[in-house]
Amino acid sequence: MYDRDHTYEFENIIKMSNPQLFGNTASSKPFERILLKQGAEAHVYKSAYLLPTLPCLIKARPSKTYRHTILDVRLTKHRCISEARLLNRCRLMGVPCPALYFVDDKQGEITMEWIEGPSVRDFLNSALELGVEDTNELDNTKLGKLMEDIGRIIAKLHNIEVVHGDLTTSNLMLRKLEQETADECEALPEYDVVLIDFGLGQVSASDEDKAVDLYVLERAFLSTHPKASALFRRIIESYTDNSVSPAVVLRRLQEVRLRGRKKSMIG
Amino acid sequence: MTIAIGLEGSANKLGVGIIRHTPSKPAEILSNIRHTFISPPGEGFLPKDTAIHHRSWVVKLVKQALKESGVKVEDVDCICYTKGPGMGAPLQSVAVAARTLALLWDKPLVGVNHCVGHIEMGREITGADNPVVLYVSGGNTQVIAYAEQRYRIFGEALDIAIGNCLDRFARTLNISNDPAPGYNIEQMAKKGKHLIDIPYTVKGMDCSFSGILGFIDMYAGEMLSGVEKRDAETGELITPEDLCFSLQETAFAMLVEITERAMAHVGSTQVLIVGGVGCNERLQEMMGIMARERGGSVYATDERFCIDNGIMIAHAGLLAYSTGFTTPIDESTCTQRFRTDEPLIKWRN
Amino acid sequence: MPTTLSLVSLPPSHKLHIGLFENVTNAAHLHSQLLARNTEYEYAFIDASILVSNLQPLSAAFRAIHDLLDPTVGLRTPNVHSETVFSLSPTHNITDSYRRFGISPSSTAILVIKILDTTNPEYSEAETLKHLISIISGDEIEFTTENIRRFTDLAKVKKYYKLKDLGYVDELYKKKGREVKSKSEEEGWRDLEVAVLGQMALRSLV
Repeated sequence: MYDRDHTYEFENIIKMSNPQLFGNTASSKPFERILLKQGAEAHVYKSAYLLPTLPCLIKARPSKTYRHTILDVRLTKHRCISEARLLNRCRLMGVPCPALYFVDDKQGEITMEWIEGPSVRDFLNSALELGVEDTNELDNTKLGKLMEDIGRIIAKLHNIEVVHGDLTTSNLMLRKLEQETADECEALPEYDVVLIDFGLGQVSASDEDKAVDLYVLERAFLSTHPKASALFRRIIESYTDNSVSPAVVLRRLQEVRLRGRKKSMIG
Repeated sequence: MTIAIGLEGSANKLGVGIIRHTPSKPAEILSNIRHTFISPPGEGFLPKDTAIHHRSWVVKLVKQALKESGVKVEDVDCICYTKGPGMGAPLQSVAVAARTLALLWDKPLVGVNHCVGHIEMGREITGADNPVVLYVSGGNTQVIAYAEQRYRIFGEALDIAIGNCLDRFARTLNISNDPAPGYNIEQMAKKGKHLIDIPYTVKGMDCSFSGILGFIDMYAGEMLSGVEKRDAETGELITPEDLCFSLQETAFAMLVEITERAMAHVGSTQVLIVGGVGCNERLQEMMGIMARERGGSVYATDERFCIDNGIMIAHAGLLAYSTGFTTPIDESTCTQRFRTDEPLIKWRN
Repeated sequence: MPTTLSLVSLPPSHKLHIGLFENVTNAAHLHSQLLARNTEYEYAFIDASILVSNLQPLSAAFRAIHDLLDPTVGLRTPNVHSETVFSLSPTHNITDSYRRFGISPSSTAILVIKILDTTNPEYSEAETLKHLISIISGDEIEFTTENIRRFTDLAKVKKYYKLKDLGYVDELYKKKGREVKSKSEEEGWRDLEVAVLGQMALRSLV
């Protein structure tokens, strides 16, 4: 149970941090593609799969005209396939991530489950803005629970020998849980953490790769808010509890912290 | 008005440049000369031989630069030299020369980071205000962006540099080192047309070239020993020109990709290419297409500034000197490892 | 009544006519007509015991129509109906896919799909549905996930879709003696459904 006096309304923070996602989706035509994001590599659309009632996300990789056509086709196809395989592996083995619906490797498009909810990044920014700054008293608060969930999901990911490659708070989403689960106990969170965007991920058992995953997330946390370091400690604690080989990875993380993500190189 | 002499010798080029800064005016290049140590085909330049080359040419070059510029020794404000990164022995020979000049003429010394020299000269020449910088040379492959008084490295080659990859490939194919192996590869690549499948290794904003080198060395080795290689579609014979073409198309696509990712990351539309490999017109062309599609443009310089030179050391050194920075004689060392994000860039906001 | 629907992001003119039947007694006859390539029987006949939800056959039909309409892809089997059955498969083996996901002479619960281009002037929805019902001797029930799950053979689904790693992380934790939050029945079905959809989606990839 968390103390209602000095906390915040979880629901309100979520609405505030991503208001457009809580608009009336019935009025828009869900099966048309709505461009959500145009990144360096991929365009991301919201659409529907099979039925108008099943929202989905489509990740498309437009061709890059600067590179040779043969190379471009090869890379686009390869990356599309690799990401689809990772998504499938994670979801199948029990790491919460969007379900894989359809792959069009000719077009380089992946259709996947739509995750409704804000990113952890947006959520944290809102939470910290609202004055949830006393991060030393995280115990039993939902923010503390959230950090545990994040640590657990990363441990699960690493347990199945997958590294994410771009583990930032933007790539962790909060998905609203089914009502029946939420009602079982008040102390349970109403939101579940879901990992997204496996575009830079790979199957890897390397401690170095896993440590870099944690390091990238740590940097993302520290740049979000100076007081977020206590939050990150909770993530590491939870990772330690849930990983099958935390010691070697955390030792490696120390090394990565000292030298930075980049190795020192000869000139 | 301030004047600096710059001495560069971190690799096989010895360069001496003289620059003049006048407040609110573009920098004036009074002299920019270079002498290159060229090794025979199939061989790289060894540190010892390169150092001997630099030692035997540095006096001649400094004299010639002073003469060309018409600058008198008493008008020179500081002596700038490359502190690193680079090859140890050549760096040391040039540092000794710089120290000697400083003591002889009683001028302050300014040690300069070679990479910062490239970036500052590139900005000065092209007018690019706050670009993402791709620094590509024999020893370095870095994607850099400025933030809070540092040139921060967003991505880099995790093993060997792109220039090193090209140089070693040229050696495998016995391509001449005159004027530069990369230049000769570029000319041969223009005649290539078949793209062979080469390992493409990009991890986020980092990349790797050792896999390419290993692959193409093996492939070329088989070709040279008489094994016929044919294009999968046309059945035509694969030529050394095709190898050069494929190497460039693949390696440069990797460079453009990591640069684009960094541009998206920092929200910039300008990109500046510096370093010896930056002369390559195909790389500039590919980068230009990418930048245009992002609504921006590419900035590049010609061989006078892309290839290692003394003027960039003079320029970056003089910028540092203008903020009060000097290198005392007893600290005027050089270092093979000197990261681009180490120096404090006090002259920028 | 059977269901008529079109799929999102495919031409709405391509309509699916879907009937779910239980207590079917003429599967052997249907099977023999399929083998004889009798065009009267050009349907996707799916054995309902390998289905876990309504999305699964729809996803297969989606792939079949998608590939049919994309000239750079095209069908791998004789027609869009056999392609729908093939598209249920996680592997490229066409014969196996018919055997595993299509009907057998002993099938008793069957999902039937007829895909038609409704811009064809001879098209009539009523006639199409009438014919669909007429060829099956069995009880027609509503095409819903709830009904489909009544027939699911979990062992067969897990085997055919190679799902031995389903829920691997939880199994790992259990082996290490950790407590694992138990999942609701609905969550279990949902995990199975998306695992199946994922395996189907990866079929196209070499």
